[in-house]
Amino acid sequence: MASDTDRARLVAALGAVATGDRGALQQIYQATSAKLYGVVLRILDDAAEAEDVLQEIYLTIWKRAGAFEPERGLSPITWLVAIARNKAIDRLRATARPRAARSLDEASAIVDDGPAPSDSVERADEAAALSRCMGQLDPKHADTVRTAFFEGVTYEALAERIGAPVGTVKSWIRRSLQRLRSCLEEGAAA
Amino acid sequence: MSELPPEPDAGEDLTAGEYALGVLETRDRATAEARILAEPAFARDVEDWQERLYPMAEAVRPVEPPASLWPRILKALGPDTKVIDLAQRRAVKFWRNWAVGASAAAAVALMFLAIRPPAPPPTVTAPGRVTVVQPVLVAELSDKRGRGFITATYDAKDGVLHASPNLSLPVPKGRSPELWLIPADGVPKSLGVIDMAHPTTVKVSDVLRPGARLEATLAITLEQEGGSPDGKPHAKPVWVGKLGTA
Repeated sequence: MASDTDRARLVAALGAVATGDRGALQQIYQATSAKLYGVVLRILDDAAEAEDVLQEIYLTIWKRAGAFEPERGLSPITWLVAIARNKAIDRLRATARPRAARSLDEASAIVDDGPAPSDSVERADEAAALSRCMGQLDPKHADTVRTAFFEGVTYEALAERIGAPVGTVKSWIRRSLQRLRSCLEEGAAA
Repeated sequence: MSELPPEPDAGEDLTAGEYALGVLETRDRATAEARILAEPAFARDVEDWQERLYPMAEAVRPVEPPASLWPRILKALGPDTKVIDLAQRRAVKFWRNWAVGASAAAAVALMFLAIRPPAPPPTVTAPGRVTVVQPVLVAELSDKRGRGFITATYDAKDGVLHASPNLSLPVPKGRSPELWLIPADGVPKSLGVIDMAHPTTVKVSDVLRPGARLEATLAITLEQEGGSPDGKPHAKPVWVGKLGTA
């Protein structure tokens, strides 16, 4: 299966990076940089800054590859996306740069719920399952979750954008997280 | 699927999910990161949420980064020695086990950190891009119970770090408080033994200076008298903080 190969290839490359193999890092870069740059660019909304953070991300992957433990079951792409999002969010919070606030409607218009073309069958399945579960949320709550994910903004920023109290936004997000979890678990059990 | 999903438990602690989603503000985020280091169960929770939510990234349109970026990364890696630094990997393992131990011993002061909400760093605009100027960085190292804290100020310009306890903190007899810098690679580097009764000034060596930057962690352990003999921590961190902008 294509997905197993992709995943196995990434796991093997991370293992090689942990031993100081630059060729393996380049492989990972070639396979993932466009995706991670897309993720970072959405959060930072500034090409120069996103580039800078992307460099940091691959330097972090270089240094921390040894800490990735495939036997624990975490998928390598999730691990990479986590590094990318964390770096981008740290930068966003550290600079606190005012950005043109997109409304929730605009934000959800940029990304549709349909499963995107994916280079991994397994990953596409997961995205489809998540998208199905997102579809079961109150549409306004689902938009809030999407904005939080794609833009990396805080509760406070979300509340400001929506014009709702922070407490309300917190309860929407928390409830959505719980519903997504049970929906995904149901799907996995089925 | 015919039944309505059960009503969610409104009181459930969803910090791991909120951290994975990215909605926490700086202070809560730093606290969650300290918990990831200290509590394996919490770290697993975060990973579970990442597995659940991050397939959303599939919907992000890939954007090719500029071709100039890879050469820049390669250059930043430094000379290619291709040496497996076994000592360093052992140290990573040690640090991880150490965090595991910390959560088992609940009575032991867990590490929690207090961080000042960062102010925007000064920026200068050069043609075509914005450069972030390395500001003076500050970390407040505290333990979970808030029993005093140590303010560390680091001036990147001259590599000088001042650590000032806000009150005289008790150090058990026969132990020496040792300050560690934990850069992005997660491997603790000793900054030497400090004085918990008076301010201490530490000159950060040139080798370590690249690691002393925004988001790096500072931690203090109680080592054997005189400090760790081999440059690696042998005790759990008692006071922890993260470098942020002043």
